[in-house]
Amino acid sequence: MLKARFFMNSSMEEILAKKCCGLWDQNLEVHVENAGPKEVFIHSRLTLLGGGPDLVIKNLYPPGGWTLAPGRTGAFYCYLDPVLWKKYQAVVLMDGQGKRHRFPIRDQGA
Amino acid sequence: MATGIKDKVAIIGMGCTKFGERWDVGGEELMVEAFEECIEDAGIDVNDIQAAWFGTCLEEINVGKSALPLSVNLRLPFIPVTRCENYCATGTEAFRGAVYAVASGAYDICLAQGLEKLKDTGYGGLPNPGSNGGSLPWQWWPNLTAPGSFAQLASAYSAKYKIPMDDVKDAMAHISVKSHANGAKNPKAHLRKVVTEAQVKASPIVAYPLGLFDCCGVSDGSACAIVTTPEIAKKLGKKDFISVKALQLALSNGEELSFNEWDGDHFVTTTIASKRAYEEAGIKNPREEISMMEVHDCFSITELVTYEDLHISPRGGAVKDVLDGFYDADGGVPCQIDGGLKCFGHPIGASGLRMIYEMYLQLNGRAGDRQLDNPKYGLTHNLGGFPFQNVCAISIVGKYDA
Repeated sequence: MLKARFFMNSSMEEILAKKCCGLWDQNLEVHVENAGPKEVFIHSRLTLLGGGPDLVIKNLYPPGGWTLAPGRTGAFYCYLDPVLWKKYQAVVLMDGQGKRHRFPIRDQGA
Repeated sequence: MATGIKDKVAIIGMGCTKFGERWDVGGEELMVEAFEECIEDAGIDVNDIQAAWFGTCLEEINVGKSALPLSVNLRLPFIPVTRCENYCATGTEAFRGAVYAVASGAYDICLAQGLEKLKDTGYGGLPNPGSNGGSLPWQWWPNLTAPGSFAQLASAYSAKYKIPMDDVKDAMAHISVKSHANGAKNPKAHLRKVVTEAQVKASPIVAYPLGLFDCCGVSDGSACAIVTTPEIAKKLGKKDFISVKALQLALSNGEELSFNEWDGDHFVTTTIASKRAYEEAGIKNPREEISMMEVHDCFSITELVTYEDLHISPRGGAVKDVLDGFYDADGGVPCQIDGGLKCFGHPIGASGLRMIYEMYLQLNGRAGDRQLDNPKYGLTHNLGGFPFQNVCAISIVGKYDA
């Protein structure tokens, strides 16, 4: 079982740009927590649903993905137009087994 | 019989640029920017300066090998100027040169200035600095990285004291969150965003267990100090001025690297240098007597183990102290009150002087939103190299009559 939290216009934007390899404009921060009993791999990509055509973002940072032990949280970062973000209703992440995990955006007030 | 440096030298002026990605200026302008603040603060003329020390570490990528850039850019009056370099302790090394020159009686007024212009290269601290690094590092330290070598401190510390890595990570996260909170109040800091422990702990791993937030910033910047004797400071009309209480340097001699006694969990040099510094300053109980400090937090684990090497936290006790908030801005010994290397930034040659600059501001009651209540002694700890082989410089400063 996974849990996800989304932070639009995160304070990470400045920090990543100025410190970590010149990654500019990483304004969306996504925290994924492995709340299950087994290790899980999450790919560095997400799909936005419910705001028109599905939008796939394939270049989340860090590249590749996160291998999360039970109880661990990993963060992904990317750029997304805040206006566009408001239009979408859900985010889908994919694990290493190809299973899709859907998370509503608006429930968090994000 | 040597009597040490205590109260033999006064700091009468200091200056520091904003640190960060200073694409707007070159190294020359950074020197002038810090110096203008410093000499105005000192209230003297440039022609009063009799000798200067110039610290810059990676001279190949900014101002070159000699001390000429300082002499030329500040239009110093044809005086002796010495360039010095001692890894990341370069800034304190420059300060040490100027302080000892005054203490010896050879000169009345001296300048110490540190500078580094790192961001022009794009260097982020990770392996392969490119052609700017030359070919020799690959022979000296093949595949060695700063985060990789300092990460081993965390593993060794966790193993030695049987403290679960999750607890060590919690303490490291607290250290970073604290430094960001302090840096957010500092208009000259490189990184000025507050972050949460959740953000810190979720960020990508750089070298396990060090994540992105466990590593300091890489910055451009300059800082400087003008020093003289207490007698001259008084003649210049300075009241309640700051004096140097202790200045110590300890360098690895190969024992850590070559023998089995060192467990890789701490800095031998810091342990020795800090003990000497307390003796020189007449400090018996540093946990009670040190009011504030700036330590070399190149990585959060460095800051954690340094608390113990400075004899402020007991061995194996730093995690508890950190999580209890002992080193927070409102704690027993506030640490990195200006944001530290983590958030103020780390332009190598300037960092040691930047640390003293914050102590100077605090002791003079000029630290703005981050001012502490009535500090007495400020300690700075400036470390260069790697855990297994390094240069450790420690200074203690305070009011002359303290």
